[in-house]
Amino acid sequence: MRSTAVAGVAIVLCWKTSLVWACATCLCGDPTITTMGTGKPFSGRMRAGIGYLSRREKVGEPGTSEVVTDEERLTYNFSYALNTEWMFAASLPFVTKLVKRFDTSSTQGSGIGDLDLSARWFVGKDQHFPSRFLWGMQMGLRLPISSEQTSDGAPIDIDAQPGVGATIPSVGMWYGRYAMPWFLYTSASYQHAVSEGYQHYQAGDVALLTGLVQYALNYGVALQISLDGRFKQYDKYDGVRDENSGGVLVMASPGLAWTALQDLVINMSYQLPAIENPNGQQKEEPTFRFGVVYDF
Amino acid sequence: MIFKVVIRLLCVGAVLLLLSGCPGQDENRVQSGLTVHIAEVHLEQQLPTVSRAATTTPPAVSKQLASVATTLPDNADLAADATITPLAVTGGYNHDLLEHHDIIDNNSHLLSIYRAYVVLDEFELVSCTSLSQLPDRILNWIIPTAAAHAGHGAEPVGGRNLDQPNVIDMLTQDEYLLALGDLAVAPGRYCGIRVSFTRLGSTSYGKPDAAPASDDDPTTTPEVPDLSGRMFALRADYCSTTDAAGNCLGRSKVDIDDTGLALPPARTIRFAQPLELNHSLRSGYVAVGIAYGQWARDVDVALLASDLYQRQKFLNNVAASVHVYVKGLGDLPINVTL
Repeated sequence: MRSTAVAGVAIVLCWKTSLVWACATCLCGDPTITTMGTGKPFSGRMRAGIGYLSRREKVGEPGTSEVVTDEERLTYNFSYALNTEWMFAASLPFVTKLVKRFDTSSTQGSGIGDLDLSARWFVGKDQHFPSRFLWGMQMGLRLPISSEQTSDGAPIDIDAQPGVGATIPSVGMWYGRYAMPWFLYTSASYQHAVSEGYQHYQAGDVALLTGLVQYALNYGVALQISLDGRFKQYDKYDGVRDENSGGVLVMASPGLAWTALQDLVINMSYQLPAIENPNGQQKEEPTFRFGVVYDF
Repeated sequence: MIFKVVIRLLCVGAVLLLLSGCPGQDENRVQSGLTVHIAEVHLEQQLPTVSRAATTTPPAVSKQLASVATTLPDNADLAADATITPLAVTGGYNHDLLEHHDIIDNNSHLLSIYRAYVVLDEFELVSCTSLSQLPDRILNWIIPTAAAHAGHGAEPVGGRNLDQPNVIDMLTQDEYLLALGDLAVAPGRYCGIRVSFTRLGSTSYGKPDAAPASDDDPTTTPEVPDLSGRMFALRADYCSTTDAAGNCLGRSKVDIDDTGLALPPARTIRFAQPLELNHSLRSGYVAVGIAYGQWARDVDVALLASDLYQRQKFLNNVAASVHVYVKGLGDLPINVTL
């Protein structure tokens, strides 16, 4: 009875506080953690959230070919549990990108990004009630609803576009283990673009691995650390490989989730490059994330 | 209770803060960067004043250069000799009817060039350092180039660009500034330019369509050589047989290219004065000259067709004839019809 109660509390706590920001732009991390949470759903459960992301990446050789991209992203998330086995979510980002190049030229693009739809299927659980672990599959589809941004009638550089304009489905698996005050979540997914983006951009295939550990200090505050791995093939432009794209990147993300009010969770994290083996010359800078979610 | 109200206010404030920043609702904008316009110009002789210095001389006044070139005593005499070549000359190309450039070799042979192509590959600006006085070879090795492969992010200029090799047709108008493309550069001081050569691959700008020569004698339409896999090609002739009075009776063709030869190394040419670009001085230009009058220096044109060593010297002279013709700030000077 006691263990059942503890497990139940653990699931509730995890549901409240397990908001981890996934990198929707650099495709590092599992975005469904952000949009759907990690708890067992019940029919009709809804979650709405707003998340802010600030990041910087550098590509190329300083002084000769370097391109620095500063990105700010405000993402509106909404998820809905159809029943205890299926959850669906949507994320719509509003993005501003500022690309600064070594020759002092710059390009800023701003607008709505591409829409991310995702579904999580709860396939299995253990025999305890409530479950101490859950696992399942997840599917995603990035839809190119963004419009190609222009300046003086001419399309701006693809690096500054808020969305890439490509259709990108994904499929993967996930596993969550609940052991109050600990929570473990891991997932793996694979993405493959099925259409070209703007300016003949062809996104390389991506494998994403995420491992999250959370420790609840009390019923309101949890500390988190996650490792988000991205293994990406080269991108192509008009069939020509971009040598400064793809590779291996693992980000370590210490974070904090705070249930400030009932059903209201404030989350922030700082994502640091832990392992970098990119193709060509790329440098990912730390990423800051902040957000608020509310459960209905 | 008060605590909860404060928290609620903080949360509302946080959301409002998020929304107030509003990524996604900013203005799209594009600002151009620092640019160096690259051009090519060919002429017979490289003036001493422009070989390493005098880079502020506008090419618009380059008639001076032409006059210098045509007033070279030897050159003038030999050119005059050429005009009295009898029509009955056999062999070679139709010297009297075909447009050509005349250059002089080490033995005072007059080599008449009817077709000549040089392939220029990358252009890189070399940044200034305290070691800039070192010899070129060391400079090449030590000083990192200020621009990566030319043409990154550059806009096409006049149908050409720097992202692919450029074929230079040496028989087009002398001293005409042929815009090759724009080089994006970082702010800084640049003390030279590096020009590299390459054998043509599958893509390039200005590659002529190969065409066979006419089969009359002397040939009135020289072959347009296929430049695929080549960095240089020449169709020329010289007077190989003369009568007692020195009149030319027969000409021999010199049809050569760089097949079997070592590709010349990239050539780094220092500016007399650095070219400085910054947020205020945002554009500049560099015109690279090719002085074809130097090609036959220390070469015996009579041996060119048969002697690999002579051809290698000739090819090296081609590379060495590349120099800075003019450079400056602002846009590329406009060509003046001569």
